[in-house]
Amino acid sequence: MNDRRKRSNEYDRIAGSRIAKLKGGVPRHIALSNSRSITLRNKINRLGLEGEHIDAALRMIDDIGLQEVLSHEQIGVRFATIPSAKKKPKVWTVKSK
Amino acid sequence: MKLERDAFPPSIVNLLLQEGQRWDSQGVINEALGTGIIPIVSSARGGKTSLSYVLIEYVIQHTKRPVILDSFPDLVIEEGIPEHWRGRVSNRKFKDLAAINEPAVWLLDDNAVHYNSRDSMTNSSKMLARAAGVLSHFGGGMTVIFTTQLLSGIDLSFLRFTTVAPIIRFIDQDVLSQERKEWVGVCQEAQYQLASISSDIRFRDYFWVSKDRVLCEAPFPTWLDKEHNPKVADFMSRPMRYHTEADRVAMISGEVKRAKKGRVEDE
Repeated sequence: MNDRRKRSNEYDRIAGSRIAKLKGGVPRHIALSNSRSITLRNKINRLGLEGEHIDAALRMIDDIGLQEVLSHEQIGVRFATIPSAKKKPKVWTVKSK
Repeated sequence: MKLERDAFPPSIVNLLLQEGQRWDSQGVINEALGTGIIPIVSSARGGKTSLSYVLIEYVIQHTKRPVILDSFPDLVIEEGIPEHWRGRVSNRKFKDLAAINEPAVWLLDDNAVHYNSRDSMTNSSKMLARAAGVLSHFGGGMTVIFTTQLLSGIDLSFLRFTTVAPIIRFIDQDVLSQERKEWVGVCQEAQYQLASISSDIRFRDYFWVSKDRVLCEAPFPTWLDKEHNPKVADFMSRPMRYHTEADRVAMISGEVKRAKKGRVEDE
């Protein structure tokens, strides 16, 4: 394991334990995106904009921020963030019944 | 209890049927090898013995192979075994292996007591290790089903020289770390797989066949049910209890004959 990965693993553990101690944690866009996501939210709130198209725009801003964060990570870490269904256990079935 | 011909995964059926017998496994016709070792590994009261009886039931239903329950007390053979097993089952000792000229299926229950790795240089353990190498020759091919709480308790030579199809059931987490390093990964995977499907705390409704990497439902014979006949159930689930006191003491104290160098029967 190289130094960078070792340090990032250690940091992840510390960060994870601290986030878990905050009541209910922090929103995804604060934890995993970047500051632009927060300032844009503030601006939209001040303008009093609401609706589906605003929610979609915010989701897009969050996705871009999240991807930026993940782009610095190894392919394995990025792959692990993809949602996937739990594999069903393989059970022997009797065909001759 | 009716068991279909493909009731178990191929690696198990392969050893239970007699050499040359054919069976259809998921659309593929296979010819049975009919010789090898099926170790059933589980902690105490994990369903090793009951599963071994289910495998024997399969042998009774689908083959003409004789079944030998190694060192079972006469009382259990006379009063414990189910009616339809009579005439097919005997209790010869494994040391009589060479005298059996039929493709027998042996059950060696609670192996760690009889063939413990700490008794590896005793006559019985040496014979067991040698027997593994010639199981396919004797009687036209024999199969040994043996139950044990951990493979680390068994003389390693026994598992070196033949086809092995291990069955893993519940193993206590604190005991699992004591397993042989060659097997600990297999046993850990089995516990993970069993935990993913079983609702029973001791995973008694399924077993893991490591060679086929598949879970299999574990049937339970009705005649082994305490509600059905408590006396028969006890005879069969704890057969060693019905040995004479002297035999029981000899079993656990390890009063076994040490092999001597240069003895004719050892060669």
